[in-house]
Amino acid sequence: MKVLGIAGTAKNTGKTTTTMALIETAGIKSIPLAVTSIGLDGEEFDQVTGLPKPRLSLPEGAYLVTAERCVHGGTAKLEVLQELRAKTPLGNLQLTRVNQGGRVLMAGPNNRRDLNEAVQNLEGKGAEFLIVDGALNRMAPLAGTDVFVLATGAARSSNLATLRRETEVLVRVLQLPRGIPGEKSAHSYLLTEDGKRALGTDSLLSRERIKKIFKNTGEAKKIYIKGVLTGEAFSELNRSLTPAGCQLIVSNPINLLLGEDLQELAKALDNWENRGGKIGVKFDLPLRAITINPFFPDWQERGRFYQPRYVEEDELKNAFQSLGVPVINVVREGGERLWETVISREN
Amino acid sequence: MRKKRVLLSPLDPVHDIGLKMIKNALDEAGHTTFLLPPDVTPGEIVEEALDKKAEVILLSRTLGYGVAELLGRFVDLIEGAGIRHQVQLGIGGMAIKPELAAELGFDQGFGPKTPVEEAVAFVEGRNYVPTQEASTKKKGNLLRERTYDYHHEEINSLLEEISEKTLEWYREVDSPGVRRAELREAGSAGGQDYLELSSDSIRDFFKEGILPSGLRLIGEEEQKSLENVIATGRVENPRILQRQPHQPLVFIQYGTGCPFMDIAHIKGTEAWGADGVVHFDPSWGAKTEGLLAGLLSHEENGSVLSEKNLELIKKALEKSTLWQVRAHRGLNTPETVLLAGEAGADLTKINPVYGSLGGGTDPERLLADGLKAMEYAARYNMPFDMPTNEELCGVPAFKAFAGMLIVTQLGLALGAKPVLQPLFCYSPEMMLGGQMEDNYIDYNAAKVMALRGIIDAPIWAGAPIGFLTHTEERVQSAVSTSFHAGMAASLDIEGISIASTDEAYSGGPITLPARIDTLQGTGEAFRFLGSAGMQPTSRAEEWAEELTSNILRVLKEVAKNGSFLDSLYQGILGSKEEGAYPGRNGRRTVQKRR
Amino acid sequence: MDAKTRVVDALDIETFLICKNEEEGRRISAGLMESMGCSDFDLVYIHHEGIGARVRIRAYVNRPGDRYTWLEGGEKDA
Repeated sequence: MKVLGIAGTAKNTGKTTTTMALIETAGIKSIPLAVTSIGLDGEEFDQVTGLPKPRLSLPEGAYLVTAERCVHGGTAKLEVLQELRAKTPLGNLQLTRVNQGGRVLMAGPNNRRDLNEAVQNLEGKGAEFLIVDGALNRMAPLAGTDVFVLATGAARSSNLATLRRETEVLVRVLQLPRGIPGEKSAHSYLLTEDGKRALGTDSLLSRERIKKIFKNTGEAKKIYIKGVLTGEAFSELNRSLTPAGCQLIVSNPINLLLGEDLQELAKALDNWENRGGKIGVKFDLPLRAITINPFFPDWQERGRFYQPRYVEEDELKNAFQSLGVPVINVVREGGERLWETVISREN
Repeated sequence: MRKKRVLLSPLDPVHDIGLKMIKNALDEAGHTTFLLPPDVTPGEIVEEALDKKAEVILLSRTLGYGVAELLGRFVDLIEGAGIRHQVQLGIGGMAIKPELAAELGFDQGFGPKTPVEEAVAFVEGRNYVPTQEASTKKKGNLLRERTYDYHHEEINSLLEEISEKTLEWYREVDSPGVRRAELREAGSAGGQDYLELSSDSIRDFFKEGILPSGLRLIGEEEQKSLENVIATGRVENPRILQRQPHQPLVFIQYGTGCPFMDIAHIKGTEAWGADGVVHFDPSWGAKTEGLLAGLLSHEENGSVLSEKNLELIKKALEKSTLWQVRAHRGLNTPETVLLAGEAGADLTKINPVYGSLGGGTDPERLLADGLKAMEYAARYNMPFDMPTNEELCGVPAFKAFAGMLIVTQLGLALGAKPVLQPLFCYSPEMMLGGQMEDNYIDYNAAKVMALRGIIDAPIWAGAPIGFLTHTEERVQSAVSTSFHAGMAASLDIEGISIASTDEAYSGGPITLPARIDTLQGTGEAFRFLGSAGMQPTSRAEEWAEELTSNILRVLKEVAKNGSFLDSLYQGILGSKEEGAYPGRNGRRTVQKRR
Repeated sequence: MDAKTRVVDALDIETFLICKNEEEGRRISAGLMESMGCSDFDLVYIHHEGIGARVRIRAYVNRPGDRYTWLEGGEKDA
C-alpha cells in the first residue's frame, strides 16, 4: 500500500477537494482505497472560518481511519474492524470499512507515529493507496509519505506575486536532494577536523542558540540536523561559520519549512549555496504535484467574519508556470489529470 | 500518580486568567509548572519546552484571523523537533471545541466553560468525569420533595368536607366535554357521535373540510423543511439559569398562533435557559365545543390544539424541557388533558374556579369537566397547576386562594398532583388597597408564606411573574421580570413563569428576542443572588396571617353553603362587585350521568 | 428630509437570526446591514446556540467628531 499525503500551505487551499478528486477517480478505476486525515474533514462548516467545507464521500469497500466520535457522523455505514491505540480529542482512532457508501466525518492521526500505526494496520487489507488529507498548513505528520501533493492557492495569499515567490521557496526546499546515504546518527551533530561533536539539541530555532553552539567552531565539514532548522537560525549559521566545504543535512525538507519567514529561509539558502555550502536531506519528499485553488476566505474586520472570494483562475495558473512541478487546478482540470500525474507514475 | 512538568503559554494576554487558574490547580496538585509571558513565538515555546523537558504544553489563544495557521505551525514544530510523543498538547480559549483541537492537531481542546478540573485531568492523563450538573441539562423536577401534608388542621378538614361533597356531585354528572373525551379515548374523535357534541365550526371542518376563518393547513413540504431546521438546530449547550438548588425552574409561555413560529421560539428559549414551555391555545378554542385536527396555523394569541400540532411541537423539544399544555378554562378541558397526556406532555393546567369566574366558562360545566380532566392528569402522571388569574379581574387574593385550595384537595382526592399557582402581580386589589405602594416584595412574599403555612405543596408563581408591572420599554420590562425572579428564588418556590419584554405591548405578536431578554435577566438575577436572598419587611408576615384567616373565613362560608358549585355562583369565591362574573359558555350542558 | 439624519448616533438592530453557527450569523448580519444601505456598522453582540443567534447589530449614523447630520445644514453627502 502506497501512502499519499496531501498537504496544504493554509486552510482552504483545496486539500479536501484534491482528496475527493482522487477518491472519485479511484472509484471510476475500481481501485481499492483507504482514507484518513491528520485534522478534521467532512464537516459541513469550517471550524475556523465558519464557511461551508467540501463534503467527503466514500464508496462501499473503502477503508477509513477516523476517531470514535466521528464513526456515526456521516451518512455512510461504517463497520469498525479494529480500535487503534492512537488517541485524538474526538476519541480513539478506529479502523473502519465502508459497508454502505455515503458522506463521512474524518478525524485521523495527528502525528507521524499514529499515522504509522494506521498504515501498519491497513497493510494487507487490500487497499492500494492510503490518501492522507492534511489540515491547515500542517505538514510534519506527512513527512514519511510515498507520494506528496502540495495544495496552495489564494487562501495562502491573494497577492499572486507573493504566492509565486513563496511557492518557489517551497518547491526548492521540498525538492532538496538526498545527502550522503547512511546517516545513522540519532542526534544532531557537527563534524570538523577535530572530529564529531553532538550539538546538544536536535532543533535549531533561534539566533541565540546558534551563536552559543557554533562559537569558535573550526572549519565545519558536515552538520546534521535531526530536528528543525528555521530560516532565522539558518541565517545566523551563515554568519557563524564558513559554508564552503560544509555539507548541511536536515532529516527531511519539512523541518526546514517550520520557521516564521520563508523569504528569510530563501535568502539563507542562497547565501549558503553561493558561498560554497552544500545542502541535502536525509529523507527526501516525493513532491509529485501542486494543486491550486482560487478560493480565499476574506477576513472582514467590521463584523468580524470571513467573506468567500476568488482570484481570477487564469491569472492564478499563469503565476504558477515553469515551477518544475506539475501544477493542477483540480476543479477545472479534473481528477483524471491529477491521478495521471501523481499516481500512474507510481505503478 | 507521577508528577508532570507542564509548560503554560498564554499566546493571548487577554485570556490568560483561565491559564493562571489552571496553573494554580496544577501547582496545588504538586506538578511543576512554567508559565511563559504573553507574546512569545511558536519557536520560542518549543525551545522552552525542550529546555524545561515539558511533558505537557497548554496554550491559550482566542481564534482570529490567521491564528489557526499559527497554531498548526506550532504543532508541526513540536513534531519536527521530534518531541511530539513526549508531550501532550492542549489548547484552550474562546470558540475552542474538541473538533477544532482535532483540526489543529492538538490532543485536547478546552472551551471557555471548561472546569479547571478537566485541564488537570488532561495533564494527569485521567479521563475527566464531569459532575452531573455540568455535563447535560436534566429535566427539572417541579414537585421537589413536597409532601402535600397540611399544616393547618381546620383548613384541612374544611377542604376535605367540601371536596367530598363535590365529588359526590361529580359522580352523578356528565357533559359534552366529558363525553367527547371518552369518545376520543375510544378512538372516535371526529366521528358522528363526536360531531353531535361539537360546535358548528368543528362539524363544518370534519364534514365539509371548511376551516374556521384565518386558519390554514400547513403543507407537507413546509413541515419537512421545518423538521430540517429542527434537526440541525438541536440545543447542545443550553444555558442553565439556576446557580443553586432552591432557585425555581423557569417557564416561558408560547402561543404565536403558528406551531412553526412556536417551535422557533421554543428552540430559542431552550437555548437561553428556559426549563419548561407552556402551550397557550387561542381564546376562541375555549368557547368552541370540540377540537380540530391537522397541522394548523394562524396569527392569534394562542396556537391551535390539535393532535398533529402537539406531535410536531413535542418532536422539536429537547429531552430536558418540561412541557405544559393548558386546559384550564374552556369547553375542551378533559379532551385537552387527554391529548396532552397522549402527546407526552409533562404538565397541565386545570382550574375550574378561575376558568369560570375569569375565563368565561359556566361554573357547573367547568367543574364537571375540570374534575374529569384531573382524572386524566392523574392517569398520565401530569402534575397540574392552578392559575389564580381571577385576581386580575379584581378578586382578592384570599378568595382566589380559597378556590385554589379546594381544587388542590379535589386533585389530591382524585390521585393527581396539584401545583399551587399564586400570582406575583400588581393586581387591582393592590392598586386599590395600596399594599404595593412601597415595594413589590412584601405582599407576594405574604402569599407564599400563607400557602406554605397551610400545605406543603409545590408552588409555581405566575403567570407571568410581575404581571401588570411591565411597560413597553424593554429594559424596564426585563428588569422587572428579573427582580421578581430573584424574589421567587428568595422565597424557595419550585417554579416561575416569566413574560417577555413584549408583555405590556399588545399591538402585535411577541418576538423571540423579547423572550430571550427576560431569560437573560432571570439568569442574571439568579447569578446575582446565589444563596443570598431578598428580605421582605415585617409587613409580609402580618399580611400572611391576614390572608390565612381570610382564606379560613371563605372556606367556612363555602362549607356552610354546602355546595362548592353554588358558592361559585353566589360570589363567595369572588363576587360581581369584585369583577368576577360566572361565565356563560356551556351553560346548562351538564346532565345527570346516563 | 432624510429621517436617518435625525438619529443622534446609531441605530441598533436587535434580532434573532436563524443560522448554523456564529460565523454564518456574522455574515448574515453584514448582509442585512448592506441590504439596508448601512456601510458603517458593528456587530455589538452575537451569541449562537441551537437554531440561531441572538444579535445586536449597530449602524452608525453619526460618530463623535463627525459633522453631525442633525445639526442644521449638516446633512451628510451620500
